[in-house]
Amino acid sequence: MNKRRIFIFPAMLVIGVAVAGGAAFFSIQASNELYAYQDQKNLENSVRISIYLNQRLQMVEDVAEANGRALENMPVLTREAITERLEQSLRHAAGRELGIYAMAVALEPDILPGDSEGTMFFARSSKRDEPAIYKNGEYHYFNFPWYCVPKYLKQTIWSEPYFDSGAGEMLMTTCSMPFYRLVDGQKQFAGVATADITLTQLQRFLNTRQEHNFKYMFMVSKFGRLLSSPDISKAMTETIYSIAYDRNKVKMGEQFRRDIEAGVSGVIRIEYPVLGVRKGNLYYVPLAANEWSLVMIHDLKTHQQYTRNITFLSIFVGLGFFGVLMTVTILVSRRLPGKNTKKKVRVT
Amino acid sequence: MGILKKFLVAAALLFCCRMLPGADEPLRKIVLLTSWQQQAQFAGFYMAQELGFYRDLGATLEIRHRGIHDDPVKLLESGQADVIVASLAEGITLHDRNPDVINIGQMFQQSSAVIVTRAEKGIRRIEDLNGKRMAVCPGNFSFRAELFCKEYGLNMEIIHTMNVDEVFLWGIADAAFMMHYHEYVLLLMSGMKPKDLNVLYLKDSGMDLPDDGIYCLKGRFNQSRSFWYKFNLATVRGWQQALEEETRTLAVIRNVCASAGVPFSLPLQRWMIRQLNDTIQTPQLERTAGVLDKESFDETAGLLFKHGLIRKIPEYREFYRGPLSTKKFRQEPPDNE
Repeated sequence: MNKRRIFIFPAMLVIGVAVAGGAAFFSIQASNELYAYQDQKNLENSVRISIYLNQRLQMVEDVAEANGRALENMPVLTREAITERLEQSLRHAAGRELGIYAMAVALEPDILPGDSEGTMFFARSSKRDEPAIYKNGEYHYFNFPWYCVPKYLKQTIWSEPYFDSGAGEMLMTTCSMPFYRLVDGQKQFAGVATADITLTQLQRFLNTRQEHNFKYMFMVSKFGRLLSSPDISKAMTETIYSIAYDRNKVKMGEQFRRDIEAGVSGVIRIEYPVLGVRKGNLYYVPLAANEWSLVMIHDLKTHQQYTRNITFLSIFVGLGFFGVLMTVTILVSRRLPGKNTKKKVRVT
Repeated sequence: MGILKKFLVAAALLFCCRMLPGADEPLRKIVLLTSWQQQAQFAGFYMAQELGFYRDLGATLEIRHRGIHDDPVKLLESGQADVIVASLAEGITLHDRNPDVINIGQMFQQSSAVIVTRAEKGIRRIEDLNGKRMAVCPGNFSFRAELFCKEYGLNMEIIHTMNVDEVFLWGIADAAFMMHYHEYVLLLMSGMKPKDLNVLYLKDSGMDLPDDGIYCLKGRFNQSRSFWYKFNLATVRGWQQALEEETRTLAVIRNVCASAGVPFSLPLQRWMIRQLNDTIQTPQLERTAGVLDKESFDETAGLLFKHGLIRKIPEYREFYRGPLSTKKFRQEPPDNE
């Protein structure tokens, strides 16, 4: 072979490797860009959904607060006035389809004349009859966080979700507003006005906003409890921290807590089987209304499939191009005058 | 001939089996009321039932939990319960109210009660609790917290709540009176770190008042002493199995919770089982599950009497009718009287 032909093969090899490498590089870059775009989009979507949820929760909170303020401003607090207020408020809330399950007014002792024990007025949206009346001695509502936490904290709170075995036999959360009355010229804690919403209602509302690219969407309470979960046995029995601890991913839990307390949203990369996915992203957004958080899980299985296809396609195109180049090289090299040909010419 | 012989032997065996006492007798139903809802705290009973230890005695156990505001004495007297689970301090006060209430077996040998505060609050000693606000569960816990405050002369504001951990997490209580095997782990599960918490163990503060024991009425006990002795032993064996076979025990608890409609939390129940190992076995104290240690009894009764929570200190054998010593326990049960 002459010098030119010897040079052409390594050159082609270098070009071929460069083409394949280029294809691989661009496919990885394209995949990363796609991933980043998807990530950004998911975060935006999760924030958007959280805004809807926040609005809904805020509306429920407004109802409880309106009741509390009305009770504060009533010239005289009587059983009839409280009952009427509750009924009116329930009717109004039903008209707005807020998904309120029940409302209550729970009083301190001696707020009503002759009531040394304390009384609770409870009205359910599904029942049209008059609100039920419970004495504290019967229901012991002073012991429940929805009563004692706003009392001591002096602000409206959303309770941790609980199973209401007394009234509804279902999981619910209560928004409680403490209200005050003037007694002997002194502002005194008089009780709490509450609005209950069932977790089923909340999850149903969430499901109407379900985005196709999220595999699961659920809420986590203020203290980390999973309100629903792809693995149903973990709902209400485990927390985001216990799952992190169980998987030896304590830092994941710490990151979550830090961000939620700071009121910022974030993402956790899942690289082990947890919450129904093997590999994915867990997006979380704090809910300002009740200090809970909205969690969305994006399964990376589909994304990985997509990027894998792009990579295969790029490599295939690259190899094809390289093959064509090699064929052309061989054809060209055959047409070039060889060493033997020159000798033959000399002999003849 | 061979077949006929075998048939006759089989028939004879079957006849003998049917003649055995209790072969066809219906199982005696025992209603046990626990002090809390279904959880690993009562794993010994669940395992003894699961493994047929009670069935071997000709009994079947129905385990329910009593309400926090229910009166245990009334439940026993009315026949709604045959046996109840109560802490030693509560048991002694029940005995003080009605001397017919007796302890027939002491499962837990130590106190698991703790007082938890946030490390940032700087409450390190018992005296630092003075003037602070403490969250306490009503009922039995409230009673023990009251005893604690009296013993140490503390003037504390008490918040009675069903959810001690939640109230503590909200930050409205400086301290919380809770069980180390239960609410403490709920705090950890809620994102608290052990270093963020100061834990004051009551057993290390001169108030080691043992928790769960089994109580029944004297009349019922006297009807069949041998049975109750064996019942105690069967429960101890149930506990041994529960502590040895964690996975199986957790599966049993899961089933118990499922049939009662109580949520089952695996991390919580697992922690509970592991923590209870020391409370029941107490290798360092040379006490035995099932036996009420006289020293513990004297200390608890003395404390209750000192603070006026009982009228008089009962006699040890008047209050406790279970086995007296570890050596005697597990040998032949006493005859019926």
